[in-house]
Amino acid sequence: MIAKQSPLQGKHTGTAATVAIRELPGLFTLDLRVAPGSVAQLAVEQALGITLPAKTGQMQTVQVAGGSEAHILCLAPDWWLLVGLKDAEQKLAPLHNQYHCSVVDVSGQRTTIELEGPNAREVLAHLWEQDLREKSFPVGSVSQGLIAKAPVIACHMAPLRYRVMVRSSFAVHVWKAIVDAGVEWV
Amino acid sequence: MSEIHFYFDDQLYKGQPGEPMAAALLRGGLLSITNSTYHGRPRGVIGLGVEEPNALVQLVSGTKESMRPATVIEVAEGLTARSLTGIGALPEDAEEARYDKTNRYVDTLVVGAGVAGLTAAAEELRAGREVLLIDDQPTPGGHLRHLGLELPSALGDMLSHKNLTYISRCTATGLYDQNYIVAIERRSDHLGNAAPVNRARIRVWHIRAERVILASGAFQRPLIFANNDRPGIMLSHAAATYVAVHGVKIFKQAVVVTIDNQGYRDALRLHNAGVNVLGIYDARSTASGASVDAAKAAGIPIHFRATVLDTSSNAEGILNGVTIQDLDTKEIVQTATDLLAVSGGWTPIVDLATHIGIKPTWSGQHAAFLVNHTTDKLRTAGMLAGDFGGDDDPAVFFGPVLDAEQARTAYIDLQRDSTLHDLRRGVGAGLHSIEHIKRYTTIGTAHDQGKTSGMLTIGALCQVNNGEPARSPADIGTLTFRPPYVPIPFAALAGRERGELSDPIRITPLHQWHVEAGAVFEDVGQWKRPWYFPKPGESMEDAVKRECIAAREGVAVMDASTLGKIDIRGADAGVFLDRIYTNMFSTLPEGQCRYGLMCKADGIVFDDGVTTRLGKNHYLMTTTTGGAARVLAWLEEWLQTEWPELEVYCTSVTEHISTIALVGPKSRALLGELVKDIDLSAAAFPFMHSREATIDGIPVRIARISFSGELAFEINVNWGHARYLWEKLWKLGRPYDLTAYGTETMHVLRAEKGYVIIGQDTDGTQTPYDLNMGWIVSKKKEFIGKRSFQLPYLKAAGRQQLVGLIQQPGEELIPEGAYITVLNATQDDQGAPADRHGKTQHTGFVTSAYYSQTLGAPFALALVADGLNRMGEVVSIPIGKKVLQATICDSVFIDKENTKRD
Repeated sequence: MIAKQSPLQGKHTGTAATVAIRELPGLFTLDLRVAPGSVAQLAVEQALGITLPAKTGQMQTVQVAGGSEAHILCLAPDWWLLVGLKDAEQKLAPLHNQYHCSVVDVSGQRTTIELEGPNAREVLAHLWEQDLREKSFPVGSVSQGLIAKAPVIACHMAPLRYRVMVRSSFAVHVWKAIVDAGVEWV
Repeated sequence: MSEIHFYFDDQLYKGQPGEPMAAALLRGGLLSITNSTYHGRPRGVIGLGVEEPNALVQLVSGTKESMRPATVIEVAEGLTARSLTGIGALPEDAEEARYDKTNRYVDTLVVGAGVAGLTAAAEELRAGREVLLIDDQPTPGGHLRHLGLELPSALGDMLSHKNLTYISRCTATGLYDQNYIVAIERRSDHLGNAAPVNRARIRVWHIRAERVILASGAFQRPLIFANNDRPGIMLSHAAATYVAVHGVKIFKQAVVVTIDNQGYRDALRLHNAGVNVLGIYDARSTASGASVDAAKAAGIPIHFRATVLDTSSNAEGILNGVTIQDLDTKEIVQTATDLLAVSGGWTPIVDLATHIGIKPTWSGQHAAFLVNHTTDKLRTAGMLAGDFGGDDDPAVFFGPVLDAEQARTAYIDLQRDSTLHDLRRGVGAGLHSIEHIKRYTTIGTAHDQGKTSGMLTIGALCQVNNGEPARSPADIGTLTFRPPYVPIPFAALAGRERGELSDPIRITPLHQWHVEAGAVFEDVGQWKRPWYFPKPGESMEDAVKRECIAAREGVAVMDASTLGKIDIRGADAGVFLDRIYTNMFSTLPEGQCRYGLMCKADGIVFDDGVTTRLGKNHYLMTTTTGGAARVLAWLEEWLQTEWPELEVYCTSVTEHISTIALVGPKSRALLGELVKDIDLSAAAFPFMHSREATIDGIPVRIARISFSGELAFEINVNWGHARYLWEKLWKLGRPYDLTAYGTETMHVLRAEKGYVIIGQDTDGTQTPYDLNMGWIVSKKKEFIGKRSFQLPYLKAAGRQQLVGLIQQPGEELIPEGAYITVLNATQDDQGAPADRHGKTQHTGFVTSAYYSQTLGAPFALALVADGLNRMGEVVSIPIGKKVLQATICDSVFIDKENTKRD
C-alpha cells in the first residue's frame, strides 16, 4: 500500500524539557453518530466491546491489541470520535443496515499536533480561550474550540501532554501558530 | 546596583534599575521637560505614574513609541527619548517588536500589589484559593515603594507561595462582565538592549477569575489656582518621593499647600531630606494627628485657612514664587520658592469597578468618590474602599475663588491646556452635565483620560453654579470611565494575529505542487486556490487561453479538493435530501450523481452541488467551496430543530476526500492508463455515474461529472493519497500534454456552458426561476423554499433573470458588476446621452465576464430585468465615458446539445 502523506509530514520541534511539539500523523479516526441511550448505541458498544464515554467533553482511553492506546472522544451527546480503533470500522459496518447510526472514516479529515512538556499548557493557553486548569480540564478531557481562528479539538492526554486535532486544510496554519506561541520556550 | 545610562534630548542621564525616567531627569536637574500643546507653556513632571498629565516623551530607541509619560518609562540601558509637544508621531517603519496574548483562569485575581492588595491576596491564599496578583509597578509595595520602605516580611514571604502568581509591570485595563479582565504586561522595555528578541514586548492577558479584588489605590490630585502649571509645581507625594527616595536634590526650599494631612507627611519627608519647607498652607481651619504634630515639632510653619492663589516664574517659565491667600481675609502674601508641593486630596482609582457599571459614591469624609463594594465575586480593598489608612481629615476644597483673568491660567487638564476659564464658558453656554462639559472643554480626553483633572472638574463645577443652587460632588457625579485604563498600542491588541497568522490560510494536499508549478493564487474564502498557471513570460490572458484550449481540445486537470463534502447517512437520507434540494434525490439510483439546487425558506437559491448516492441509505453531498460550513450548519439546523424524527446523520468529510477533476476529450484515454479495474467507456460508465476503483492499490471513487461541458472525470481519493495520485497523473499525462488549470479557466469553461456559480451569478435575491433553472424545481414534492415561489413579488414580471451577453469580436471585456442600461436611451435637453445623468433606469448588471477562446469574443452572464423575454436585444453598458454594447442571448453559449460530455 502506498503510504499516505500527512498535512505536516511528521514535523516536530522543541524539547520535552520545556515543550516538544510534534505531529502525530495518520491516526485512524472514525466519526460515530448515534442517539445516546438508544438500542443503536447499545449495539455499537457491544460490537466494540467498550462503553462510550457518556458526557460531552470526556475522553476515554482504551488499550488495544499490540499494546497501543486508542481514545474515544465524546464531542456532543450523540457524537464521538474513535481514534486509533483500527478494527472498529469493520466491527461497526454491519450495524448501518440495522440501526440508526453513522460511522464514517474521517482519518484524512484531521491531523494531530501533540504538545508535551512542563510549558505545554502555557503554550496552549496563548491560543486557547478555554480554561485549562486541572480542575476544569483534567486529564481525559476533550473540547472543541478555535486556535488562531481555526476550528480544532483539544484533548488533555496526560499531565504535561495535550493533543490538538486540526482539520487537514488548516494544519499548516495551526502548526505555525502553535510553534509561534512557543517561541520563548522552543 | 549598577547605574543605567540613557539619553534624553541628546543629554546623558543616569538612572537606577526599576526607576522611572522622570526621577532620573529631575535628579539631573531637568525641570521643564516640554512645552504644552496649545498654549506653549513650559511644563515639567507633576506626578509619579500613569496619572501624569504633562511629561510626555517620544521614544527614539526601540519601538519609537510616542506619547508615553516619563513617569512610567523605566530607565534601561540603550534608552533614548526626546521631549514631545502635543501629538506624537508614529514611526515610519513597521513595528517589528513581538506582542502576544494569553489566557488565564484563576480562583482570585487581585489587582494592585500595595499593602491592601497583598493583604487580600494573603487572605485568599489562606482560604485555599489560587491567586493571580497583578501590579503595574516593577516591584510590589504600592505606596510603600514611594516611601522607600520594604514590604512587611509576612507579605514579602507570601509572594513565593506556590498558589500565587505575581506579575509585575502588568496593568489591568478593563473589567468586563463575568469577571473577565484584560491586562497588559510590559515585559521587555525595562531590559533595554538585553531584551531577548523572541520575548514579547507586551503581553495582553485575558483573565477570567472567579473572584476579583480591586486594590488599585489612589492618585493624589492637584488644586486649581492661577498659573498652576509651572515646572516646579508638583503633587506633594510625588515631590517628596522624588526627593526622599530618588535623591532629587534640585529643590532648595518648598512651599506645601494642602487640604489633608498628606501635605504634612510630605512636608516632613522634604524637610528630613534637607529641603527648607517654608510653610504648610492648609485650607482647613484646624488639623490634628501625628503627622501634624510631627510637622510642628520639626519647626515647619503651619498656616490654616490659607492656600495658594497664584505663582510666578523666572524667564524660563520655571516656578520662582507663590502668592498665598488668606481664605478669610483674602489678604495675599508672596513667597519665593523653587518647589510648590500640592496636596489636593486622594482620588481612588475607581475606573475598573465602573467599567461594569458600579457607580462610585461620594464620601465627604474622604473628600473622594469611593467604591465600597463587597460581593462574593467582586470586592474592593484599600483606598478604593475608603481605607485611607492615615490620620486624614481632608477638606472638600479644590482651590481658591479666582477672577476671570486668573481663571485663564488656572489649568484643569494640563495636557489639553483646558482651564477654569474654559469650564466657566461651558457652564455659561448652558451646559450642566459633567459629560457635556467634558466634550465642550476636552477636559479628560487626553492620554491620561482625566486621571487628575476629572476630580478637579467636579470640584470646579461645584464652585461655578451659574445662579443655580450650589452643587456638591455627589450631585455632579463622576465622568464615565471606559476601558482601556491606560493606552494600549494597537500592535499589542493585534498580537500575533498579523501577517500570515492574521487569518487562517487553508490549503489542499496539492498546494505545494501548485506553488512549485508557479501558480498564481486566488483567495476563495480562506482557501488558497490556483487562479492560473502561467508559463514563463505568459500573461494571465495567455495562460487562461492556453488552459481553456487544453480542456476543450486535449486534457486538463484541476485541484477541486476545496469542494465541501458531506457524508449523509440514514434510513431517511433520501427523504431528507428531497426536502433540502428543489429536485428529487430519493429516486436517484445507487451509484449515480445528480446536480442539486437548494433554497432558503424564502425561495432564494442558497447553494448547489452534485450529490452522489453511494448506497441505499448513503449519500455524499458536495457543496460550493465557500458554502461547506454554512450548508452543514443548515442541514443540522433542520435535522435538530424541525425534523428530529428523521433518521439522518451528516458528517463533514471535506478534508478527508481530495478531488481531482480531469477534463477534456482526451481525459478518458489518460484516465484509462491510470485505472485498470473498471470500464471507462461511455456505455459502461455513463455521465453522472460514480464508480469505485483502485489505483496502485489506493481506493478511489471516480464520477462522471462535468463543470465544463467536456468529457470529464472527478477522481476522489483520501487526502493523504492525493499528492501521489496527482504526481502519477502527471507522469502518465506527459504524452497527452496534460495541462493544469486554475479557477479562472474553470470559470470561463463553466460560463461558456451557462453553469451558474452561486454567489457570483447570484446576489442573494434569485429564485431558481430567475436563474432560468425552473427545470430543476420539482412539482411533485415539498421542499424548503417551495411555498415562497407563490409570493407575488417572486412571481412578478420584470424580475432580473440570468441571461447571456455576447459582444462583438475585438470588443473590450465588460467589467464584472457593470450596470446594464437600454441602448439609445433618450437624450437630455443638451443632447447628451441621458444615462450620463442617471435618467436611464438600469436594467440589470453583469455577474461574470470573460473572453471566450471558443467563441472568439468576449461574453458575459448577466441578471437582466425580464431578460428571458428580451433575447436579441442590444443593451448598453456605460463604463466611465465609454458605452459598451452587447446582445442578450441564451446563457448556454456552447454545445447546447451536450454532445461533448460523453
